[in-house]
Amino acid sequence: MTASTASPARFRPGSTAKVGLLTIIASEIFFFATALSAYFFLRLEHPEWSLPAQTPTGLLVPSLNTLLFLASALVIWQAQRAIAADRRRAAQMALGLTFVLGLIFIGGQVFDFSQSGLKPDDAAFGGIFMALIAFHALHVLAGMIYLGITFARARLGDFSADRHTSITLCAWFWYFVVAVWLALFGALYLV
Amino acid sequence: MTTQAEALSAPQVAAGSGQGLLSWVMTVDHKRIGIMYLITATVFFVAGGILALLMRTQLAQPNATVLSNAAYNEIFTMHGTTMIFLAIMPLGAGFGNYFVPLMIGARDMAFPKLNALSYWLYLFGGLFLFSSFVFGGAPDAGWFAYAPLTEKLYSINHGMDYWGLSVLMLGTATTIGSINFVVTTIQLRAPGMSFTRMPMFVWMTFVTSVIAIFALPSLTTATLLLLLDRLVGTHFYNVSAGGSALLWQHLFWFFGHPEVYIMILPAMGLISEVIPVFSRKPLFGFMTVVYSGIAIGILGFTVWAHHMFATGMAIGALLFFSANSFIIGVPTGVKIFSWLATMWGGKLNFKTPLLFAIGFVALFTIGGLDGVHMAVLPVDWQITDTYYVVSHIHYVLFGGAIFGLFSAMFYWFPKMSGRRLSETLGKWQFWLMFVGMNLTFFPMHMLGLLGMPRRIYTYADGLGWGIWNLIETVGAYLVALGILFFLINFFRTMASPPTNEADPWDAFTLEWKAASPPAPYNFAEIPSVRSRRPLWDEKYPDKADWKQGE
Amino acid sequence: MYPGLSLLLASEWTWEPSVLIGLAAVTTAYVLLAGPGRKAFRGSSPISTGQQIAFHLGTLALFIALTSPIDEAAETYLLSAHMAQHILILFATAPLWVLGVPEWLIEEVCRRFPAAARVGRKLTQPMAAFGIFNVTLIAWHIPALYQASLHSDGIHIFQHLTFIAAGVTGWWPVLAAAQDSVPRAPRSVQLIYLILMVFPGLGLAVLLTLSPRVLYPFYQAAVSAGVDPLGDQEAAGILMWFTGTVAYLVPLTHVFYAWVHDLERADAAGARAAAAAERSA
Repeated sequence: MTASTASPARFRPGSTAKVGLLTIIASEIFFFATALSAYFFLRLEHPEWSLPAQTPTGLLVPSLNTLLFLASALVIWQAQRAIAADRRRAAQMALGLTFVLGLIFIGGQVFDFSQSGLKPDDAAFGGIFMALIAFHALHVLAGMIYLGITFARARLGDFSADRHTSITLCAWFWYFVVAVWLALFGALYLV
Repeated sequence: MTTQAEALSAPQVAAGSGQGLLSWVMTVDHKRIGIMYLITATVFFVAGGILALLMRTQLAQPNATVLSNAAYNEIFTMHGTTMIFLAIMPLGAGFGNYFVPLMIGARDMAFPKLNALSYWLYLFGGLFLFSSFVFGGAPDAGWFAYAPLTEKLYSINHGMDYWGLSVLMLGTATTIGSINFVVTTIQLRAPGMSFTRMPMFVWMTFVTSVIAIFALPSLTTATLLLLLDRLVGTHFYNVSAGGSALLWQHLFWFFGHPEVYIMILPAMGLISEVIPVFSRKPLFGFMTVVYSGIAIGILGFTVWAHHMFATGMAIGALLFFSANSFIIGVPTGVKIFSWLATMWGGKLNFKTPLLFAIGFVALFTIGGLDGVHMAVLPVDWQITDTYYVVSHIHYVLFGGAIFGLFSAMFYWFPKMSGRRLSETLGKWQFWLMFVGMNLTFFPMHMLGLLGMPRRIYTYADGLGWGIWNLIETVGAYLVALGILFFLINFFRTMASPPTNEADPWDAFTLEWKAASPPAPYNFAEIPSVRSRRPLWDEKYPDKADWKQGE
Repeated sequence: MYPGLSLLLASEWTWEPSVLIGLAAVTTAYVLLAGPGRKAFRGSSPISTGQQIAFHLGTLALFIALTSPIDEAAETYLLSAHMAQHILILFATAPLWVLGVPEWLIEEVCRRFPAAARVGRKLTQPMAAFGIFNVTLIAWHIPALYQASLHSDGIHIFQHLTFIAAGVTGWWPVLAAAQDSVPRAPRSVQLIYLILMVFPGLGLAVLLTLSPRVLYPFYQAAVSAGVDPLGDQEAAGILMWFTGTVAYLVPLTHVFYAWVHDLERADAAGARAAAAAERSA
């Protein structure tokens, strides 16, 4: 039985792994969306909540941290461009730098939170603030584990211009955690 | 050389497909994982059913003392949690695991190892939940676990911690499984199988999986916040410390409503496979039925607060949710018409699969109409949290989902085991379940209107409730007898020698092309497809679908 | 039921010259384009009646939004009227204008301004378009920003311009004419896109509707006009909720059946090719 062709204009995502990761990211976006909705729902009852009035350290550390984190997204983008042009050492270095920036970001978060004097069992505000930052940090850590593995594989010469799906996937996940941070930063610190 | 050619052409067999217990533990074969899901889910279904019988025995007469108040609370909580998370959803996932790859002409799911992980997480989550009976008390605050009743202050023992942790595990299992189904459906369809030629069960599993990916995170958030409240001392649901009790309800029901569609859509897909085969006609209005499923999925996210009509929300919000709850009846009605239109003018073969499918259509319609009643605000204010609601949920979930799942069980049993279940025992089971189910759940309409609240462990004499409760208990035992017939049927059939008929029902879709049971690699050659009924095309080339002016 | 109804009915039309001139200019330009002006564009063909009606309806929607009593009510007492105004811009004007633009106009503009074409292609990628539409929508509801637009005419005009731009960008992947310069998304992607578009508006609308307090202090003034600002805020939320969720079902239905039609046509073409191959084999 000869095959009939499928529709020519069909959307072809490219690879099973990419579709898989996009689906995982979609799920996690809904997780953060519901968590943020919970924050705003609680906030409706509490007009007195507004940062940075609640945190003594103010906006400086979180803002610097955010800029650093944004920079890390640009760096991993460079890693993608580098490997597409077969510049393997450049790609490696960019991956490594992204990892380091992620580490500094987490460190900055830990520092800021410890300075804020907030405790999870204070009142609802402390709890939801801590929960959102912690959920996000866990995702950053997951991204860093993936980055670390990808960096190691890059060092071992696994990737080339034709074969670098893992770097693409790693980058997509990283863009996701950065985008979520921008939303959290806006919601928790700016609005 | 023949042997070399044979060695080259025989597909490699996956690890974990040999004999012995260890090969089952290690398996990543979707068919074995599907069977493990189905067997585990059936065991949990029986357990949940026993819990139901205990409740019905307690309620048969006023002021009974079969169960204490505390025990009753644990039992109704565990009954609901078990049936929803450990029985209905995994039965759907089990059939999905087994048959989605076969129906799309694939060799396995996209991520076989993740598939195995889903199953083991499910099993562990279920066992963990039930272990609470032994370790200090089962959860007892209802399957939807309203805060602040579930806060540490009021739910002192660890029952709700068990509930929360196992819900997180089960939710993760479902999410992983859903990702697997979505990717498998997008990537692994056989050549020629465009989305318009994909079987309805595959479509509904796909839509269900997308819904699950969007809905489960809300449950995760709700449960994580609850566990943080209970174990770390935060105050998300504690009003006196700035939290909100309604927050739990919104987060839970934003998941909870799509959840009911997660439970029913696969069953709708299942009977959409059975009815055409046993009517000898293709499904009427195929793509419109698909679209109805999609519309139900989307609208399902806009009606959640119809579970919260009595919480004092503003009238505008109440009307919005009420209106949408009416609208969502429309695509459901479309599906019912499609099934009826498919049977109309068809040559009906009244075997057990068709009986259960027709049962689904009738009983789900009743349950659906109940839902429309409750969408009317003043009606709901009267009957919310009464037995009317219990009637509704059981008509749609038992008369609907469970009947649909049994339809599939009888339909696909030959494919999975190489043997047909007994028709005689099957018909006995159907009639016992059908009559029993109506005896159990129809009087609950009356009880609800008479004001009997749900979740009470006993009731006073002289309210006029006793007679209905007694009838319901009789009905419940009839249902249990029906299930017993199924178990007898199962064991007798498995003990008999296999007949290995590949296509006992003269069916239409690809899974019947494989052997019964299929080889580990499913198809030696990936089939290619020219219409929605590829096997029909192959068997009846003169009447092939692709020849009908396509 | 709707607290602001009598107030809305009592408001006046506002005949703002800049708005009237602007809308007249847009209408005239389009009419010329559909008529004699077509000759200036390579490869042009007559604009279908449906497309012309769509465009003019979009302009009409903007006219209603900016000059009808909705406008005065929006700028004085009624959040719900302001919501209706924004909904007309985002869910009527923007999609109707996108529908009304013929493909040869897009292609000609892109040929003359290739840099703009490149930018346009990037911005109308589904993910980018989704982000632009929803971030704009959400950002303007932040109390500080919303209040600013109420206190300053300049910011208010800027707000409306960003809504038009974000609306056109957001609807482009689904409704733009089929062409290759700034293409719309494939049908299957359109389906996913429309489904996902339901959710950000849903979240915003829920918070607005269920809020126990007035979020935009400017509208406390409604009290002096005899309207309960909280009830009006709720009405605004419901309006946004409805348009942001159920209303997407309309384009979704169209896209779904268009997708099915495309698939069936491709399947039929494939079947004919296979049959021809079989016959000649």
